[in-house]
Amino acid sequence: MSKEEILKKISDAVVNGKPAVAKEGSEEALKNGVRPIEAINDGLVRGMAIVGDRFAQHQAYLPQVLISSQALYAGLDVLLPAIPKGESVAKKTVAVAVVEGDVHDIGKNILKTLIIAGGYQVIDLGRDVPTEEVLAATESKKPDVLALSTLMTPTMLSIRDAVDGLKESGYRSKVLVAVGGAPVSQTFSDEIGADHKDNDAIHHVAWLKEVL
Amino acid sequence: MGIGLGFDTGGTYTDAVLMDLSNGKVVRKAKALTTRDDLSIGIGNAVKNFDKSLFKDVVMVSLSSTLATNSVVEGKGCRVGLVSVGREFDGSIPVDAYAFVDGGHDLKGKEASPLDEDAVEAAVESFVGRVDGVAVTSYLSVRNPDHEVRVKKIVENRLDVPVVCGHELSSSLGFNERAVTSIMNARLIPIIKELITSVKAVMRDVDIKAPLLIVKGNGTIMGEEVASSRPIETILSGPAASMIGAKSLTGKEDAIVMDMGGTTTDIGILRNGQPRLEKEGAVIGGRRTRVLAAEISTSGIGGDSRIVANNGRLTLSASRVVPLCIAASRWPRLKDRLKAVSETVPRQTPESLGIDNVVLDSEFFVKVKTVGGENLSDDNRRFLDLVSEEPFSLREASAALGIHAFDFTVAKMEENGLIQRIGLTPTDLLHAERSYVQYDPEASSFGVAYAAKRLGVPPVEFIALAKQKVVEKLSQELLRKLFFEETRKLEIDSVGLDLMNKAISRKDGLDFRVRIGLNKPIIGIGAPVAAYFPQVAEIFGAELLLPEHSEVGNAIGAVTGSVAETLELLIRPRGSGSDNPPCTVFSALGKLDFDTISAALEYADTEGRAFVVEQAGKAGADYVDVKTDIKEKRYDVGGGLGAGNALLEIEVVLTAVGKPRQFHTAA
Repeated sequence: MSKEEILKKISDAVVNGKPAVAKEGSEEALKNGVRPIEAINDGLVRGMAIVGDRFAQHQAYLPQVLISSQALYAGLDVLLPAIPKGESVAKKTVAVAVVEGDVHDIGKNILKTLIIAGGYQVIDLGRDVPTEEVLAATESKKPDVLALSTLMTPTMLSIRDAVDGLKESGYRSKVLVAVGGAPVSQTFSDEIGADHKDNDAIHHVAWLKEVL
Repeated sequence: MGIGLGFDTGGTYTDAVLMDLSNGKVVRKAKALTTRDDLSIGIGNAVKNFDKSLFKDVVMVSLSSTLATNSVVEGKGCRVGLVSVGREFDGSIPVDAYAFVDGGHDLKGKEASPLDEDAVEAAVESFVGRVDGVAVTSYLSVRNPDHEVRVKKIVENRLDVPVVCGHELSSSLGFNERAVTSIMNARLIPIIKELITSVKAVMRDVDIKAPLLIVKGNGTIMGEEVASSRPIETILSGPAASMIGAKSLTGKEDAIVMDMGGTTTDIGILRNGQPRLEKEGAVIGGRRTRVLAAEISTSGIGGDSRIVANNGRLTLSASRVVPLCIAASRWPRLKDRLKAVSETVPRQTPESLGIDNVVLDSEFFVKVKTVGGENLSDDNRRFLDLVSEEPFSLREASAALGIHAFDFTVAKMEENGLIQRIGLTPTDLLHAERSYVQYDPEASSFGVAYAAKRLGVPPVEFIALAKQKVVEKLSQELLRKLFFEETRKLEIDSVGLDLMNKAISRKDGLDFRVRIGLNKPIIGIGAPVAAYFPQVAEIFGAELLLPEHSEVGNAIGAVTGSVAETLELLIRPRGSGSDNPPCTVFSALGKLDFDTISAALEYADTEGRAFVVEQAGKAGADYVDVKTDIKEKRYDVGGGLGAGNALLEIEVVLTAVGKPRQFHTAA
């Protein structure tokens, strides 16, 4: 198989939501001397971008996006460890988390997938992440953007606490803070001093392209 | 009759003013040169100019001083140890001793980790003999000051030195900024105490017994006791005082205040009678503090700015020199030598040299410092000896010592503060045209004659060109400040710069013209303003106020300032739902839980109020009035169930304002 054929195979596997095929294609890529970064960008990420576009144009349903993301991760599991040290070009990094007190992470996972598809590196801090952990990770991993979300009203204040913590530690000026989730409003974002608010993963990636 | 005596020790001059406090009239004013090594000498010299009989009526003395600002910038002050609780200090400014101990709170004000008192004891033990002051900073102490308070007690039990806590100086988030503020504050304490002692000695000599107050960077004033514990609050007080002085002299509540001094021009905006404060905290010596000071832009254009004519170009440099007219009155022999220089044919200096390395024959050097300079070359050392009493130009020194001029590195010695350059300045322009004469105008005329010859124009034209340069520079600085106020951005792109320059030069572009008008008047403060500000105001079609006595505006601001103390309380609901939910109050008084918001507001109005009134009393206020500013922050909750509006927090700012307490001798 030519390089082009392999990349097409990987990309199609993501579009069609076939984790096993994505894994197989990624292994073939490595065997045939395709550079892992190339396989990620021109295979996995390209496929995910297609799914993201379809989702944005209401041509794909949310479950399809989630299944495709499974294929994306299956491929990444093979390709990421194969990147030679030092070659991983300094990509911009986005840390994502569902804040303390909330376990609803479907939205966060969609966002994560689309951010990867957008060509950025993602640090997934998980869900119900204690505020202190968000702060510690921001300091140690130095993401360019910290994206925090919640689906519930009471836990919105955990987002506020995280922003306060960044001000206290002096990291607020070193990271862009984006907030999101169903109840999160623009007035909330403004009052707590976030940089950006979104309730839509696609728009959020568009914003990242603007600021990063 | 109650008289207030106000001082301002600026970079160049110390101003003094006697003001009748009953009607705000200036009774007398005086000026002396600032004596940087010991400010009280200059203050004493200024006082000497007053009629002593007036002193018996002095009921208050107030001082605005650049001492704290300069000390921070120059890194002066005592040895300070830092106890950092719950988080390591980032080390952005050096300390003489440092200890990190466990402790600190979380964002809700709960103890995150117990305070390690044994470690504090050990730290303090290790500080013995190594520090003259201690700063204490604890993680999230603005949410709960308990650990800072406890560390302070432990330190005070063991060491007999001042102890400064972060929460005492700021209620704002920012661990490192609060630490920097506390360290700087601790460092300044002996310096401000020495100033207070020496100024009081000067006052005693002239039999003034009234209390001494010091101006803060937000334009208010505080008594000497409070000043000795919180000296950091005096940083940037000069510009703040000038804004309060401008308001007092004109009665304007909204205006742009431009204060042109010897060294710099400060521009600030008065809105509703108050200078706008820098919310993030003042930046001093390149470090962000949490001191709330008036936001004022400072630029290096003043009466002492250096004017250079070289290779057909006229340059206004940001570096400061001693004006020829002032130098000639101090060293009278200079005048004849200047005259001789003005009659020579000038040599131009190569373009490739930096402007500081261009040394004109009409520029002289004199030694200013008695210490330092250990690493100088022999040639430089001989130069330094030569200029220790009488100033010499580079050419004169070269001839006198038989050493080639290039073998001296005068620009370097100037930069290191070993020598001071004397040269042509905007002040000389005014002396040469005789529009403002305070010193030796003939010296200025010779300087202008020589510079005009270098530029190849008649002296009258030279003066006009140079004054135009000053006006342009002032206009640029004004626009920069106004643009910054509008956009919060310091940098101006090339298009913005072009528009700005067109607005100032009033020259048309290809297809458009630019005019910028101001919506508030300009108040000009400082000695040389009448010479330049009318043209600046004309460019912007603005009303210009040049109040009488404006040349001592800072000193007037010092006397007319109010004493003010502030307490900030943050009320945050715990949970949501109810209209009057349980809540927590965070303030310098500590963290307290309440069952309802109304109970918390009640607490602010009683306990909080009592606290600020007491603080204002300690700071020297009489007739205290408390202003309560309540800001309720709400937010929308979007989408689905429970959409609506919720309370985020309530900020309560209590400000106790009073007039400075007056001193009256028993009749």
